[in-house]
Amino acid sequence: MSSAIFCDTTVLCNFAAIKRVDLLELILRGRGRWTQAVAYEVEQSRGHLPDLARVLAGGWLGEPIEVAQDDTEAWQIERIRRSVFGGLADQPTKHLGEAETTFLIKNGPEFRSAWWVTDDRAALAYGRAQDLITLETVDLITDAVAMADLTQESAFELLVQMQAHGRFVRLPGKSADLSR
Amino acid sequence: MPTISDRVRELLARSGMSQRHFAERVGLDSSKLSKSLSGARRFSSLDLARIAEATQVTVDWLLTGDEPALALAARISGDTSSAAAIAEAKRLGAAREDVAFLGYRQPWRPVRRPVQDGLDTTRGERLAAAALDRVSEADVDLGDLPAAAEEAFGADVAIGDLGPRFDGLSVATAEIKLILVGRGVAPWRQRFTIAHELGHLLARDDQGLHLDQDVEDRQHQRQPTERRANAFAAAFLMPERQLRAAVGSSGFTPEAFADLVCELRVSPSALAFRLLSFRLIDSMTCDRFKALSARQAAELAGRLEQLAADVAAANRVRPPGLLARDAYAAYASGQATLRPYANVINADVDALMDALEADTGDGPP
Repeated sequence: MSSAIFCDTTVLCNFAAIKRVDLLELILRGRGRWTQAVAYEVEQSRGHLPDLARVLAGGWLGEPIEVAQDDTEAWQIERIRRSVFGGLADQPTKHLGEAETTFLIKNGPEFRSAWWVTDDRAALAYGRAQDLITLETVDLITDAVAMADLTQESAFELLVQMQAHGRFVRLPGKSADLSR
Repeated sequence: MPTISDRVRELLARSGMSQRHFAERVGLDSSKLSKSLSGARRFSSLDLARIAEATQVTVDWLLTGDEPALALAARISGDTSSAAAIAEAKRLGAAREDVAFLGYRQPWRPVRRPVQDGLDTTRGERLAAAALDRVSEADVDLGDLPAAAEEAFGADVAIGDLGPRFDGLSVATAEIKLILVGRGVAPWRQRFTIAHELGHLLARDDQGLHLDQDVEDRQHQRQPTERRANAFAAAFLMPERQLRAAVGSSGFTPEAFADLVCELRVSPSALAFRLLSFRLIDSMTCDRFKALSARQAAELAGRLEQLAADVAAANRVRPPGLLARDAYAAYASGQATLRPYANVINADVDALMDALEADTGDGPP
């Protein structure tokens, strides 16, 4: 059992797009966490995905974590944002959520076994290369099937709906693949 | 020593707003801003990013008070006609600094600077001789000048859209040695500009940004560093020894001249003047040779295909090869996402991932 699950904004948006934020809350079972920058990105996306208001109001991701403990850490996070995630100096909030989250998982002793969930393919490949436990929305959905929160068919249908809403989620070939 | 709070206070003063309005503008809770300014609370990384975004400074400046050398030089230049070129230089310069943070530092290999006396032109020629020795040691072909400058000296060389009538620039900071030239249809002019900028870098002329909007501008050419960079470029691209060997002792036919133009990839007029400067041809021959167009020279030498290929290459955007190599290496080693590499080569990251992860089986391409 993971101690904490950090969902990237892409993941929160996937569930908000199909108005199933409640399902994400259920899947996370109190393990969800987020950083300040991810909470800010969610706030910024609320205009086109109104269901994100339920993420912001729900409190089930806990208080947004203030990652940098000193100026040196803030400097390191800015370097990671740019060097690792390709953020630009004149767009300082872009990719800050990813930078904060990976910094926290790699450097915060209490989060060493945390999961990071993202559907950004470039971020996913990086997380795995760094040996972080890096998952996608489809993995959370598979977990929901394993926990009997969803049937394979309904789980598959949810992923189809996410794609239909223009979300970039990986879809298995058939519903039966959504089992462990 | 000024702190982050001091710099935020400076931005607040510059804005002319009340503290409450400033807090609203940057999206911070007013009481949190107040506590941070008094030192009772730290600014979070998100606070810093939002303040930087709203006030158009960088997070680095907020944290350290240091502005990157390139950003500072770009701001001071204040030249709107150079805006596209400066923006591209800043983009590539920042990418070089970012990849350096991951341990991929630019492999800059300057040559030993020759004795710093004599005329500017003499100093440029001496520097070119040292640079040509390096080219010879590295065994690189000057036909592809951007690749040669990268391999022999470790400079980043890029060709881009720099706006109308902008020849090129160079950037020299502790982490960046960049030559950026404009895309165009006259390959000989582009080659001259690359060599000219290389001359500036090897001579360690300027720290920061050096703009050469028009390398042929007469007023610009009067400056000692420009005279030296021009002399460097001429001697580097048209080495005296090679010219003497080509002319030989049995006269110099128009066909041989045209062949040398194509071999050195320079303009007929530039070569004619250089031959004249060594008294290898007389002034009447010089007039006759410099009247040739590039096309006529290529036709005379039977090298029209080479000219067409050179014109096409000069007209293509070229990302800096070493920087692209280093950004890709950072990705391949798992130290970075693919995004910095995609940024360097101006590609869509998802399309790039599709291409890199494509099945390489037996199907059609």
